[in-house]
Amino acid sequence: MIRYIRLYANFLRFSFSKAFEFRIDFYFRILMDIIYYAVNILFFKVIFLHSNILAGWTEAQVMVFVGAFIVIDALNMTVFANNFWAMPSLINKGNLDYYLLRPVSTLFFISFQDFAANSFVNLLIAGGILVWTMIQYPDPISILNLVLFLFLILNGTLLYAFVRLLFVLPVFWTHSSRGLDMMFWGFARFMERPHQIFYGAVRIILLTVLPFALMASLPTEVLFSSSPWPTVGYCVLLSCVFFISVLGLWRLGLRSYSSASS
Amino acid sequence: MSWFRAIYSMEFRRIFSYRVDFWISFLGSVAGEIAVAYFLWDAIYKKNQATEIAGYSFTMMILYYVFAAFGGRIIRGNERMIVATDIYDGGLTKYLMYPISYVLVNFAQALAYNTLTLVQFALGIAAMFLLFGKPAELDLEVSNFIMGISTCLVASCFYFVLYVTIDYIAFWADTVWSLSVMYRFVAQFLSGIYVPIEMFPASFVKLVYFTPFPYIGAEPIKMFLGRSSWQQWVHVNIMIVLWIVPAMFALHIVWKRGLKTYTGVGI
Repeated sequence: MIRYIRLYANFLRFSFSKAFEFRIDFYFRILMDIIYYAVNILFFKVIFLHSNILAGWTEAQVMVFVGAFIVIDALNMTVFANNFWAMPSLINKGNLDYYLLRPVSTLFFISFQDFAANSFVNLLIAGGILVWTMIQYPDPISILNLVLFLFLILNGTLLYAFVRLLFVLPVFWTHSSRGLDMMFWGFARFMERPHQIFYGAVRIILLTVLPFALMASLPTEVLFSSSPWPTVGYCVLLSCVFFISVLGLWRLGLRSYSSASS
Repeated sequence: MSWFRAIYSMEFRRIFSYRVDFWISFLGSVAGEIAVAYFLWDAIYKKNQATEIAGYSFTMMILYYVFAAFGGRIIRGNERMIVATDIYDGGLTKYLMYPISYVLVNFAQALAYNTLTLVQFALGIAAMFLLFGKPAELDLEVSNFIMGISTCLVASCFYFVLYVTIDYIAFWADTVWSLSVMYRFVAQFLSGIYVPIEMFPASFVKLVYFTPFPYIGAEPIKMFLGRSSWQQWVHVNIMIVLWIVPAMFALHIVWKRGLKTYTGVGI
């Protein structure tokens, strides 16, 4: 464990020096994410010009939800996004060989090696927005609900990463670089809307096989709930299931890996 | 212009060699966009027991998003950052030696992609009507489709020119991916792809119409919905062309200045 922490500290050091080498990109990315946050906040502000309530939530509650999903997005952009983007190329070009030879978990290495330092600044901004939305919320929030909410945001971040990996890893068989990944981005929009608006089969899917409702929406519900424990238990359980599925798919994928270009 | 035809058909072949990617990304993004819009507006209309919001019934609101999803793909075309890649890996050098215009090469590639988005549009709309039936409120007039598609194609020219101009920033910047994404966010929000422009406050709507964006989003969508006359069609297309002119000028300036800094590193 200590070895992995030390390794991650090295990843962080290299990533920060790389980010400062590409300064223009550093600032562009910060600006890009600020625009993404602004567009999402404005979207719901416009909706609330025409409705007082959305899926049982007031504007203040929806804003907390927006804060939650932009923090999850920022965490993913900072920790995972660059790595998952590069993964199909590593597999298709046979460059995975160099990672397989190293005496550490390959999945850990290729999932965490590139920490996006520029997105880290955005994470601070996204965190600030979340705090601001929570200050705007007029009713008191208990400490327990707050702690569970923050815990579920971290859980939602991991779940988001696991689901994305389940869309990326089929590249072992398809050798297609982007198709399924693009499909993931299409589905990821479901995370950006409160889960109560969905019903029927779509709602069941969003609570089970494509658990986008568990990433930001259910955590926000927990923040305002008087009985949060069943939801917390379910979110953690499903994250474990998805983690095991990712490990299973990774091992299956490695068996099919043919080291194409090495 | 035989070289133009050659590049156009080569781009076709390239897209078809990645056809599974092409169709999966199309289905994923369009299905996601329409489904999310459907459930969101269903919740809003039901909760408020509204028959109309900002001049849209529930059916027309959903149709707005259907045409925004399919029409938006025609307008945005292929956001592949080909130009930036050519600048970074030195691939631009070979085009500089040919007696052809580099921007026309990119345009031929974009046109090939747009042709396929038109096919996607036709198949997608036909499939929607076959699956869910034709909504009674929608006039399926051929003229609406002619106005809508032609405006989408002109709008795609404007979108292309701005996109390539942003790509040319690669002459100076390390990466331009984030700039392109920024452009997409702003363009989609201000053009009414995320939410119809009529829903914004009136003062904001006035301001937005001083930019080119409503003409490359909300206006063509309204044409599909049968909410525009031929006079409006002429007005919208003139406005887009008027915006294309300064955009082309900017493209030309950035290209000329960029070429002075180009070193061909990577070749």
